[in-house]
Amino acid sequence: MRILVLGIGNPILGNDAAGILAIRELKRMFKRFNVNNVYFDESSDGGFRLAEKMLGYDKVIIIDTIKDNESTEEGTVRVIDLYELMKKNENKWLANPHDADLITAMKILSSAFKDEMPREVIIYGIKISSSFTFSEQLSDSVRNAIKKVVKMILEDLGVKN
Amino acid sequence: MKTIKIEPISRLEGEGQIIIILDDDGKVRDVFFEILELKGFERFCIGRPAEEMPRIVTRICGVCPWAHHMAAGKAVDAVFGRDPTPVAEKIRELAYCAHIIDSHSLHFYFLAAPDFLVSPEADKSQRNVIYLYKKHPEIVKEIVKHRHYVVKIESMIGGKSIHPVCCVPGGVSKRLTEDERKEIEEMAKELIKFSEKWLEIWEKDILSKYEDIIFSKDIYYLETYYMGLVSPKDNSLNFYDGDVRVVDQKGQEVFRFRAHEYLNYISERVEAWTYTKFPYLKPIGWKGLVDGPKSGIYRVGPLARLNVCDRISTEKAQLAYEKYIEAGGKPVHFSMFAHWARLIEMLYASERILELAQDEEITSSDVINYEGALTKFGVGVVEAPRGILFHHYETDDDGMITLANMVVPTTQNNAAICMDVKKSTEKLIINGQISEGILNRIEMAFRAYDPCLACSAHSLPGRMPLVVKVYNTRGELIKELRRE
Repeated sequence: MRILVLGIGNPILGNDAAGILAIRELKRMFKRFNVNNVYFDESSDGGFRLAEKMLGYDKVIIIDTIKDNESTEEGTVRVIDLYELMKKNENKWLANPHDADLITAMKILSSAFKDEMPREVIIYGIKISSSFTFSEQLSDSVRNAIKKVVKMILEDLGVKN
Repeated sequence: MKTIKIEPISRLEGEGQIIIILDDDGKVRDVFFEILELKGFERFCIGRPAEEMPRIVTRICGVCPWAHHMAAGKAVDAVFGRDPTPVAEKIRELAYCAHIIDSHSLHFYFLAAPDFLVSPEADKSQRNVIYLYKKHPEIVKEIVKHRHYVVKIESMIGGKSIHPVCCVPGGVSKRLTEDERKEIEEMAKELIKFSEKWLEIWEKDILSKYEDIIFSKDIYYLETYYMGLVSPKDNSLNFYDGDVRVVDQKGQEVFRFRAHEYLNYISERVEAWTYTKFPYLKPIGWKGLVDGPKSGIYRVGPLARLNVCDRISTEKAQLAYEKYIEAGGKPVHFSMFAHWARLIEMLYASERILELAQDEEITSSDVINYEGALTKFGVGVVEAPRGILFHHYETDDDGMITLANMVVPTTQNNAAICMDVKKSTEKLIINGQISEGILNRIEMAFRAYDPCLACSAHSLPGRMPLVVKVYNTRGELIKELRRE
């Protein structure tokens, strides 16, 4: 089984770097294990460009920052099954001026390239507040969340730290 | 008086919004298009080694990272006094043409095309690429297949498809192998056929059907100046390098300059109601948000590029360009022609990739020039998919950045977008009534510019709701429409 672990974010936009930093830590840790079916990549993209990266893998694990309307604190980790999310989403319109959103892109690619799409896509979302200032500094709560996500993914992949 | 706000909220909220102010009779009194930019990038760069800039700037924007990478690379060439080798220039241009197709194809096929191939008035559940897929699955599959080709070319040369790392002072970091060259050559042939097919679709299925929109002088029409790059020897279209040329409302050249002279020609107006500046032609002057020869407002992007150039150097794209001029005149002031221009540019980029892939020296190992001395000053310019882009750096004696300034396309189009959106709302909103179709026609005004709303931030789920807010004169929210 080919597994892609994908860190998403902007490495120079404060807490938005969380996914990128998590993937770099995982990649570093994985050098110790004799695992040859897990691939690591990072991206600052979304929509079609992100969905296209998933072609050819059986399972994809995404680490990204999220915003939601719930009263949870910054650094809270949510585990989301992307295909479950797609079932709930009605996808009635597209307004991103440059690209489709990820769910729309996944629906298109799933229809057109059914055999090449991963059977499972799990998102580990780290909750952050809005970040509009370029910086390489992260808040303590997000730093702690990165450690937590790394541990969770190691468990998900069945390797012991 | 009512105030209507249309807020496109991207992955992190608040990047841009349209504010429409209605008077008590429901007529449009004023319209503002506002972009809220990410803060502090220039400050973030200060004190960093200049050679890091091409890699850092790709993170400004997830939409056109290659444009920033190339402009930064060229500025850094100048900072270190190193002219890239001819082979390096060709490799850079080849990859950059792939990026133009990557960006234009995402915009046109997935966002603009459903407006036309479905209908601007269609229900929102149908006016999108998913519906397009249901109606024409083969077309969408072909789009995805050909997008895969350009992403592959970008990855081969850039190291990564999205955030390239290939430009280094004086050249590129690796040569092209013969196997890669052959693969690119074959993909380019397919890309040419695909681009031609889409121009046929435009001419047969879109142009004749939507003459009222595309050729309208009431909406989506401005008589501005235009700015873009042209090849110095023959004024042909050029994405990667050349002279900066400005033409007037009649298509006559009024200014021509090299990138490092940009501050003599571009000035920025600050308005109290927005953080975004309004660049204008310094020698003409600022006369407010109006078009015409006395106003220094200019446009950049596909429409502008085909207005400033005299010709296109590749055979098939030149023929397509001649048809385009025949239909729209020269210069073309119809904003919706930008979509047509994008299709012609994709054909040119595909042909240019083939030319470069067949160039005898493209696989040479002479890809970097190590000779040169620190000049401490550099301005790099390229045509980003959305228009001309300047990067300007200055350094100290150790090559550390002391000044970083970027003039980006959407900011340069800011005034024109405001004016086009205002024109469309004035024409379309009557007695304060706004339907879904009207809202989409207003969206089409700014979608033609493919505006870049600081998309570098990333938070799932990656969608962009539109919020229309209606306020009364006391600032109380009396109506809210939300589309998501």
